[in-house]
Amino acid sequence: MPAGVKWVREMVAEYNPDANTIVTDAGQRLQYDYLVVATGCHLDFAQIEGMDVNAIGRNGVGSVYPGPKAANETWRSMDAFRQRGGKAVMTLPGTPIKCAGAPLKTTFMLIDRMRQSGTLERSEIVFHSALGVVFGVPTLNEMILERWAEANVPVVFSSKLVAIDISGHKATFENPDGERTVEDYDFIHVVPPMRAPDALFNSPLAWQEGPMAAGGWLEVDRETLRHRRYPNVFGVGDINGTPRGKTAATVKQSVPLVVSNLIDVIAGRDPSRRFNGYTSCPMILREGSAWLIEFDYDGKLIPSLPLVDPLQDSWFAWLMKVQLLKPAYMAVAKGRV
Amino acid sequence: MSFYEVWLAVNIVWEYLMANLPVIIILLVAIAFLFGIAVVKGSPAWRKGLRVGILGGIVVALVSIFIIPSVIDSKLSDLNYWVDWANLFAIAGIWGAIGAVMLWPVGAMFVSRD
Ligand SMILES: Cc1cc2nc3c(=O)[nH]c(=O)nc-3n(C[C@H](O)[C@H](O)[C@H](O)COP(=O)(O)OP(=O)(O)OC[C@H]3O[C@@H](n4cnc5c(N)ncnc54)[C@H](O)[C@@H]3O)c2cc1C
Repeated sequence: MPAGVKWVREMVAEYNPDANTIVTDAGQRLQYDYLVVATGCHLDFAQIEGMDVNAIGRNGVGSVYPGPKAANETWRSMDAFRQRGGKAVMTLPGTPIKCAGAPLKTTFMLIDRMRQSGTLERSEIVFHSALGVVFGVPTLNEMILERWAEANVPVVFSSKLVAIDISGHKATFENPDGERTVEDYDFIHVVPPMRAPDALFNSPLAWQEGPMAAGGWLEVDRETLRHRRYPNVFGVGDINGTPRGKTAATVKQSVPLVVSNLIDVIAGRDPSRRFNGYTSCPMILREGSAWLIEFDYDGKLIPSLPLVDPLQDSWFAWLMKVQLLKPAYMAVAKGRV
Repeated sequence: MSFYEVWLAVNIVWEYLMANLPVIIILLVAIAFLFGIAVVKGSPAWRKGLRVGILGGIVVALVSIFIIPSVIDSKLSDLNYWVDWANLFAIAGIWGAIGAVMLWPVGAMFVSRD
């Protein structure tokens, strides 16, 4: 922690932006002149009836989202499944999610691992998307669907995971008309719906109307990342109610911008820097190959390395993912970039 | 390329080196040791040794091309277009250069001056 910063190790329980205060879960009331909100997403597993996060790694249940331990447990489940083969059900919720590529990478990796184990031919993998697409960038959505069609992975659109019977290995999906279907599975990858953490969700800082209101996301201007109604509040990262942008790469790009806009505001100027929504997601296609995808709010591809073609299956992209992203995140975490 | 991107690249390389510090220390110690031995043994043939180092480095680079992909859980057949190959050759080149530096004193010790 840099010198001069007091780290209050308590969670924010309440935001009172009209009084410029927050209240912590220990009951401490803190006054602020300026506030930067960076509280990330809440993984709303509770929206899936019967789901138990502690079951990840057992009974064929996987979910890479809750953290490194869950990711390891998911791999254990997946590894056991790919040796035997059977039926895998992969899911995608209808809410904005962090790293929207993760459910797709997991599917690509499962296909690859099963191919390596020789169990792909006698197995079934089905992908349920609660949306009408699997990825928000149209070109990439098409390319992914083509790959899955080649690998015999059907996609059921507008199909939301609403319940799971863990011991019975059954998943219930609902379409927008409220019709329910039940899928048996041997392995399931559960991706939870996501929303703002409770304190923000229930506060005046959340979007009050529009598509972001349901998730209670922070109501920031998508370009300045300044709150649209409370000008002394800024947002960084997954909590922002902006289109796309729920990746660590977004955090890396937007932190310097928020800092300089905040300095502008403190100095009595208008925020001078504008964010393009930079989002990046190395899409692993198989062991040894990936796409290095970077795009803006409008879904336009904006590669940072001018010679790299984001739509090429690439060993270099794989190299970046497995060797160079961790050092990049370390540099970000240390506040140097 | 902006100053920020250069700074980012420098930081990535730094963090990468820091994460692989034991390997780097072992390599540096080995290089220092080999140069030390060459000097202590007396009258090393540096010029001729350099030739040995360069040839050895080329061999190391060529072998690295085949080894590097498997070190990062991939295969040579995963390389798909020129950017992949350019990066593989660059990394192999770095290993070749390290090999050359290590083989230079070895060559200087064992190749005769005439
Ligand atoms: C499986 C997976 C794969 C991913 N892959 C990539 C990738 O390849 N590339 C990429 O760029 N990104 C990737 N991401 C996304 C990336 O991890 C997130 O976008 C990033 O961590 C968001 O950072 P953040 O600081 O906004 O939120 P977080 O990292 O979630 O941090 C939020 C912090 O706020 C704290 N907090 C929450 N509520 C409160 C409160 N009320 N009071 C105080 N503190 C609170 C939390 O405890 C947490 O420490 C991936 C994510 C997952 C899960």
